[in-house]
Amino acid sequence: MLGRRLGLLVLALPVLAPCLWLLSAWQSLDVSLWSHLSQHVLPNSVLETLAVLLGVAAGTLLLGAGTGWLIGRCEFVGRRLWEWLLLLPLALPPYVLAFAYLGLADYFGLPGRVLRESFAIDWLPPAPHGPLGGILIMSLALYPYVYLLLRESFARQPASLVESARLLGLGPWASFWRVQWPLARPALLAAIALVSMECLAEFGAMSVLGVDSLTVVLYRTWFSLQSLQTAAQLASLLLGCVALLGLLVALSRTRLSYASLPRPRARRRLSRWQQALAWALLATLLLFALILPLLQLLAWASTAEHPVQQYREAIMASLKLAGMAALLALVLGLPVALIAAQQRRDRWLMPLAQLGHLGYAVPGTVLALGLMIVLTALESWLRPADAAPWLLSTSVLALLLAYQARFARLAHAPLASALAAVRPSMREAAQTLGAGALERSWRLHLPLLRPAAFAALLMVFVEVIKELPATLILRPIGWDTLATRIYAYTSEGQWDLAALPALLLILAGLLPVAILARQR
Amino acid sequence: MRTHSFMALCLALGLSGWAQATTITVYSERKAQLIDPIFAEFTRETGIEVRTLVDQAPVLIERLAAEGEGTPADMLMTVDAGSLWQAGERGVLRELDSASLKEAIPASLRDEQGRWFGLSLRARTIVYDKRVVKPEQLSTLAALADPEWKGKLCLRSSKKIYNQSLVAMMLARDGEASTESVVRGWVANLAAPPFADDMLAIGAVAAGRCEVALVNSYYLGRMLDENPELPVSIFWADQQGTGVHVNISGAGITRHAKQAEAAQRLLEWLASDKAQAKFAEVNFEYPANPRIPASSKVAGWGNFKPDQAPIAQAGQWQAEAVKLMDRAGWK
Repeated sequence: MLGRRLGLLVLALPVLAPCLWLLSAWQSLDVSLWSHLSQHVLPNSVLETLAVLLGVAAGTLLLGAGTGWLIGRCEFVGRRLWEWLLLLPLALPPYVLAFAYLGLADYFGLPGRVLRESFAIDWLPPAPHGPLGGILIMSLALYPYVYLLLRESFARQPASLVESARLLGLGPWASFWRVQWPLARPALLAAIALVSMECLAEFGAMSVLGVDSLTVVLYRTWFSLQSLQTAAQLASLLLGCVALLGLLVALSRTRLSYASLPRPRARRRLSRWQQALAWALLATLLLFALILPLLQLLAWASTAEHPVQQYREAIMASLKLAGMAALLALVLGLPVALIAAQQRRDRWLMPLAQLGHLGYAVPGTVLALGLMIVLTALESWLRPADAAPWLLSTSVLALLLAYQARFARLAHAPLASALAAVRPSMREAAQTLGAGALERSWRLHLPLLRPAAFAALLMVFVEVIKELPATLILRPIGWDTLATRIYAYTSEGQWDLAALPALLLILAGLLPVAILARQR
Repeated sequence: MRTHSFMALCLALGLSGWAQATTITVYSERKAQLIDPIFAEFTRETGIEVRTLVDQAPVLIERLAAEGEGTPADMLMTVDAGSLWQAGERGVLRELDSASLKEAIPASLRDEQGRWFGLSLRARTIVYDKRVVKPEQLSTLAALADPEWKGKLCLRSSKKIYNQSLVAMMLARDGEASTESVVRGWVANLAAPPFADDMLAIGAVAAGRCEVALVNSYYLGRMLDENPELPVSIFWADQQGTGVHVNISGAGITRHAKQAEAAQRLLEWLASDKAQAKFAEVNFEYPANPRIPASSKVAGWGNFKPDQAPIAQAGQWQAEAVKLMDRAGWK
């Protein structure tokens, strides 16, 4: 028991160590800075953050649950095509989506230019800005997470329950609210929590769109008000909110267990005009989430001259880092998921496993900086005085730890849900046949886990390809990735030059997303 | 076991390429595309290789502090005087006593203790829609706070350090009350919420959303280079008074530089007459050495009188400036 607990604790170290650093920032308080922040900055920032969180929750729910229901519960021509098309926007990082949309609304953007030069019409689309813009962009970027989780949940709904409800006299709406909805609720809460954490941690898109979210204020406190300590204090408060959010989700989940995997319900066939409507809705969504931004990026990329040679190295760096991080996440994530699934009675294990997943919501920069400081301390403690410096704090190892801290949760989610689907009866049968915990893991759980393991690999791979802030801080010299190349250009306003690495990054992400989508 | 060899591999990968001879490593906030051509020229002349790692200045400064004496960086280059001042205060730069640097760079554009030196000038001034605004209507930055510009002004976000340094210099010169009333006037005159970057603000002027904007001149240079018919012109502000607000892109040698001599050579080379002309020209900026004429690309905009106040004030007053902007509601 103790060994397992300790093991989980060690695996949570990449997250815990930076968090401890955050907490240590509370040793002293800059009162005048805090009073300035709480008077002039935080009230508005808290409001804007809450508005974006609620708005994105609603937006992704509308888009993600709507598409999840259409694909998971309905049958129509082309459903299998849409099933994976809808996932593709997963390859677009929010910061790329944000700058593509600002470009679309700009004087030199595609619509403005075409209208002006071909039709002599002076009209520009409204530029996304502030909380409303943030809600729009983040909803478009994040809905695939909700879609992915809810599609599964809707598709797997047991027919027997819904049929019983109908037989007992409930109408279609009542049976939706009283049976289907409660069944989908755990997946839904998990999805909303995931999306909220992404929103809390997002810096790039929020700052480009002029949203004063808490993470943006945190950066401002460090970069502009020159107080890293107060920024760390803000970050630890943010972390507290996330822990609370995680706790709420965990609490809402505890009563649920899959005793059996019943026969799923048949999909509902849509009538011809319903099919046309479904196609129109899905196509509109894809237009805004993928096609329009891609067109703008293509338009930019075609006008600039690109240093193509640099990109070959950047692609290799991105692929190598993403590959290593994905493997590491799987190797470390499997034992966590197995232990958590097999030892449900130990009430310390679940919270310990959850602890390792806190990092998902910590802004990448904060996490990376914490790691950098902790690793520096570690090196000065471990390294003999006469040895050459290891530079642990800015090494590939540091990067991999940061990715592990940020994305362990993503690898865990598919593994845990696949394990949850292993029926107790199977485990009991194995136990009856004399298989111990280790043999059960090896012969029962692992084979059943293969698709989920693959999904975990791909999810982490895509996220690492898109990751910017931690990569920017911790990469050793010579490890410029596509994401850091994009940053170099967008921060100078050179969007036409940023467009090609952005397209390459999307391409590198699209492939695994497409595989992921087809495999399910 | 597997994790062990894996970690060893990662370490090896991270450290590879660390022990090459006479390669200068520059931690740079100035983006690679705006500095690599100059470094390539230096390599051609001297055979000394230069490699860069790009990030934002506050991050690079923390990185230097964390890496300590192990740092691979020999030089820190930033695009703002405030950041250089920060780096000096944080103790990550070394003092340099170089006659040629003192000779080439005016005292107002370098650190008193020789820890950092400005290498190019970036002027932040007014651009206007030439279809509706006449240059006679324009005079100073402070005048843009007058009610006649209500609903006609575009600004970039106050999160950008260029605006923070501008307000910091105003604070140092005019004091808090006067600066705050000007900043409040600007905010009251905004035609649109502050933009994420200067190019968007110029685009808004071109699109007729606002009539005047406050930007770094090189952004307009780049945009005019691509779109010569852009209906936007530049106006040098404050020419009757203190001179137009300027900031610097500059550099210093790190405290724990391994190649300190080579790095000093690079820094002195960057301040030399030939490099000065090129350094600024790459990005439509102006040489820090006032004796070097501006590049032909920006000569058409005429000469301007720059503000002569010590640029280090941008760093000293930065935190106060940010608080003032917060109070005035400049987002």
